Amino acid sequence: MKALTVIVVVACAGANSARAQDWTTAGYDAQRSSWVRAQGKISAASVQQPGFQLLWKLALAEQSSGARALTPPVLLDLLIGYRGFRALAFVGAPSDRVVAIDTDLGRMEWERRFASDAPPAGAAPTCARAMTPSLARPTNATLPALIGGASRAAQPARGAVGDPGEGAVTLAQLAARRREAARPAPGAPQPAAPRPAPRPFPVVYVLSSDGMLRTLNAMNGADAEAPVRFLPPYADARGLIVVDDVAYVATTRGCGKAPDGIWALDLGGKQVTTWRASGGLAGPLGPAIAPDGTLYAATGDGKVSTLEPRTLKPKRTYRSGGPGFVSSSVLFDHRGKLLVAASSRDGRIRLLDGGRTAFIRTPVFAHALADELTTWADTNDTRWLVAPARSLVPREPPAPYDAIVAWKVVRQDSVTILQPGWVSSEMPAPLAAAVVNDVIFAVSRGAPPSSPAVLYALDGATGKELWNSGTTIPTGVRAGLSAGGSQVYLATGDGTVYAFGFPMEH
Amino acid sequence: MIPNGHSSIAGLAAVLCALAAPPGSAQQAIFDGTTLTGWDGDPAFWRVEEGAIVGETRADKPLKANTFIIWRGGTTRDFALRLEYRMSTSNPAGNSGVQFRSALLPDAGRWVMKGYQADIDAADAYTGQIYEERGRGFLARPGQAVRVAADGQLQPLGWVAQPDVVKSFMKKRDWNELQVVARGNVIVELVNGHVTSLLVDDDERRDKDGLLGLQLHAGPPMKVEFRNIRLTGADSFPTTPAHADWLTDGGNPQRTAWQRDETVLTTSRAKDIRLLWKITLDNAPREMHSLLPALVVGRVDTREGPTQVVVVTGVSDNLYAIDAGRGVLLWKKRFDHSSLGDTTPRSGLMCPGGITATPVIAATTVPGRYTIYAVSWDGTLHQVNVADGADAAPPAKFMPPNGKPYALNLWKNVIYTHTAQGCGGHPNMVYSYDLATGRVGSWGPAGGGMWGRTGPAISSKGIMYTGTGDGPWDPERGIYGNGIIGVQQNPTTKALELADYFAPSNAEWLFKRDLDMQVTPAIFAYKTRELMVSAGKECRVYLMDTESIGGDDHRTPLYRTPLLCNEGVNFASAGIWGALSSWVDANGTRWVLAPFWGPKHSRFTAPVEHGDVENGAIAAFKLEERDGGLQLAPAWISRDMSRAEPPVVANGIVFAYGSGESTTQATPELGLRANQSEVRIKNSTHAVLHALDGQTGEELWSSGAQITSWNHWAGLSVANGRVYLGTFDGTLYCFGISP
Repeated sequence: MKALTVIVVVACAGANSARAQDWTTAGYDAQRSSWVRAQGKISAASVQQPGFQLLWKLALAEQSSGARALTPPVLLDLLIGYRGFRALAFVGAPSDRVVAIDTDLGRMEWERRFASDAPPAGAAPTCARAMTPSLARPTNATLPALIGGASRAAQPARGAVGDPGEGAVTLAQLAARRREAARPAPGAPQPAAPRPAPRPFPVVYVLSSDGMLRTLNAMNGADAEAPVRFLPPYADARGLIVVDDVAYVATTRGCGKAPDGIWALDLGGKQVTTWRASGGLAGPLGPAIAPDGTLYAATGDGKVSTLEPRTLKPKRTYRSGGPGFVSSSVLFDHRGKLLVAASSRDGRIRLLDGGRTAFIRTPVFAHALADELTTWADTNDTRWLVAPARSLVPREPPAPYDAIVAWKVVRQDSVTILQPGWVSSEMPAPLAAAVVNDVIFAVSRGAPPSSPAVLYALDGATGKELWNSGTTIPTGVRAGLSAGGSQVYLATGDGTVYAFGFPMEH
Repeated sequence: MIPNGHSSIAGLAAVLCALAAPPGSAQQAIFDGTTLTGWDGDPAFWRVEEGAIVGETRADKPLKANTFIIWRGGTTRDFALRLEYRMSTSNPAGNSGVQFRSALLPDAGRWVMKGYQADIDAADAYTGQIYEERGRGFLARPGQAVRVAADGQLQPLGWVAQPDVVKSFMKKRDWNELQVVARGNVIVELVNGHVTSLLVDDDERRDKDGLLGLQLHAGPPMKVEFRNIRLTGADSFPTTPAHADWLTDGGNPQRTAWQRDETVLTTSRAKDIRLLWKITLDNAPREMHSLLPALVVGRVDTREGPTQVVVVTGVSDNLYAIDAGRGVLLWKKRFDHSSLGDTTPRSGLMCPGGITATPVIAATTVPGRYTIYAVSWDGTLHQVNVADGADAAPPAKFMPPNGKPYALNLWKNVIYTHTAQGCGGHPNMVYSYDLATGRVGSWGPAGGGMWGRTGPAISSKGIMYTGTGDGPWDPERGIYGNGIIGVQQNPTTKALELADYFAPSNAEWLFKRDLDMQVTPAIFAYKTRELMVSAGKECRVYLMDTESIGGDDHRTPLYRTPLLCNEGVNFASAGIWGALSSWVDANGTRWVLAPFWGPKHSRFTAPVEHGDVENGAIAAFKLEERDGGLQLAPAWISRDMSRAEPPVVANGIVFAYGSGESTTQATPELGLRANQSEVRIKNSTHAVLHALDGQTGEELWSSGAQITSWNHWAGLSVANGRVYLGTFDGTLYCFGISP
């Protein structure tokens, strides 16, 4: 039996909005930062000590499927379910299959399959492989704070003795509380706008290849609502995210005859709205969403467009003046201002400054950058941008090599600039990184692509390698990482999910 | 086959009458002709006159509601009753009757009964019929043979005599002989030797046992007399107070739940256990809470003389004292909680409000006088005289109101308890009340709630131990969740101070999966050492030495068992909940008993098992020395029980019960909304009490379907041949053996 306070907090939080430390969508949060801020075991100090290791792996591949790889897990760190407390990872698997994994034990909790009635896609052959569903859990658009599960935290033990005949000191504390409560609260906040009644269980959203958005009970995978038409069948959907009861997703490559753009589905009214991106959308993470709900979309023609939440009405478009973007945009707070960054085809990172007046840019530092950026801030409030880079420029050492490159966002003479931070040691074909506290996790999918993948842990301040997975992962990787609950997850091309972390005695 | 003609039904009745006397039973005169010894009625209306019990109302002394004089010498199950009655009234509305297999309704009055009645009236309109007072009403009218089906439907079977013929059997204003014969589900009534009604009662709700009494009906003035009352087959009550006590939850400060002074109950006599009485109290349940475990004082000096008294606490701030021999309410006390204002439950199932800690009783310096220490809803400590319910000392401030303290423990003039669930918005704390100085110590482990069902256990050194429930374990930061703490009062400052602590090596896992260490420990001596056992929802038992419960690193017990259950790692409906028990048999073997919920773990086995376990069971261990250390060796696993609750032990018998409570806290459809009282109450069934052989776990006796309600956070008590269990509907059951 959990203390009541915990039950109440978790019940409320678990029903309709994710706990802040959960990885609920591609890129972790609404801003697509890929930065997990949580008190926990993972730190630059702990990872280089013995103990961080492979915890389990679970093969989900089906021999008959030639479909594309697993999705990075979407996480639910605390589910109070009918079978007990669970930490779950939800993975989209080939053949329109969703699997929930108990991340403590590495065993399957439940699975669902969705049979499509739609005919095969008639577009490009590559689209026919789009058989892996997109997953998301409800996401809060506010900037995640440093959290550690406040409801489960505790103050140190304490004791006291009351005066004779006066009972426990807690009686005196109670009296003080009552006096405090009797005072009128200054500037009481206005009542919040009415919201839909919360569900008694957490949900996971699944966009299956037939274009239907499915709301599943996270406890058992059962339908929590009837499926709703969201996209045309076999569209290439990316970055599914649900904020304030609106689902958003990006479509690319014209698959399923769906135009490239952003789609919104109001889960209350079931209306679908579309915004078309003339230059196509960049990156696999879909739109980034600001705390006020505004959507930011980086496009293939070098623009960042902002859209109103729910209606997708264009608000403003910012032209970078450079080549098209290749990554999704990431948003972050820097000294009270919301900045927008994305990587462009010319091997630079471009940053829209807080005044929204101009893009600043890095020098060309690679021949190519991966399609995802990561951002985090250290304890000195220094903001970092981390990019997987191919064939660094200039080529040092003499042969070109791939690496993770980190840049600092700094103010210099009242101007925001991007300052070189560090470059990791060689890491062939790096994929997008994830940050847990001050540790950068990056995965090299190997060179050539069929080579075994290696997971690296780097010191966020220096780029120094703290740990690597060695030969633990025998196959290559196609998708990125996700992390939470002091564990890091990686899905390999052969349909296996790996979990790394510190062992816990069961 | 049920006959359907006058003659055949009458013949059946006659046969039944011929077989009336249960084998081996003797006829007993239950009225001595001169006094009301053994009878309990309102002296304003009942007296003895000329060899008869007389009930009379007069115009100047009217009766507002029916009253009864109750025979306190035993109960009626299968019996034959023969008596003479005379209705001496000219008013045709005069009415009386004879109650049998009946129960008391103390909330309606001290002398109010409900149940079967052989009806008598001045007009002989009802005389000869079988009626049910305050129940199903008319069952078999004069001359009728009736069957009551399982669903309560009345099915006429025919006539034993026509009504006008029945009327002709009666003698007006003269003595008539009334007979009632009851055997199982068949009841026959005869007047002056003639069968007047026959009842075949297959109703699932029928009472199979209960008290006998005589009725005086409200209404116009009337007089009724009864004499020559003879009973065959009565189950007698003992009349001599016994001397074993059960003064605190878990039986003793060490919480072993072992009644060492039991002499009446034996394994060979366990088969004779039966329901001695039950009493329905007027306590209103709150959320799922109703009656707390009973306490027993073997001999209390009351105004009526030495009496064995059972003290029961009701969650709605009620204390009840019951005569253990007769099952009659002696007094009731309701604590004043008017200062709390609105007392509507709002905090849910886990914070019901009300009184949640089983009181503790202590002998005073005056022989035969005992004091109850109870913490009421408003957090006040009360001291109450067991004999009459009067305050033995002024109420005193103790702890904040609306909290959830658990069973009080008393050690060397200091009362200890602990709280859980943060009820009332208060932190979870250990509390002590120093009776000498009135100073209250408090200490919080910064863990989760401390919710061992029988409260803290206290060692020979006066250290109070409790599990710390669901919370992180980080002693370097002063956080002691999911472990066990030992807390001791500083004799000088009266402050509570941490004396020792322990956490399982997998405490982090326990926290993550909500597998609280929350079981009240049991402490016992073993050779030159003092040992302690405890457990949690994870479903394994830890053995510790109170000298240092976790060793140098506070993580190393003497021994831990494998998992007994909870293979599914669930936080609800699985694991060990509540308390453990420990006892020593005649061979000197030390036993440890663990109740658990849910299916047995597939890899846990014992030399003796009693079938598949799906819902819960008792696991018994022997303390053995092996390989230079101590171990808990599995000995037996009991039969399946619906949520096995903490057992108590008496004279080699292990009493255990399945509560019948729905313990589901989450469902796929409702999530945690399933953990609401209205949902769980609806899905609860009924409790079953089991008597098990302590050596083998074999079931010796079971209450079957006799207990009709379930309970939550109740518990067993045992003393002087009787076992007590309260249920959600406010009924206290007393099962046992007459000495």
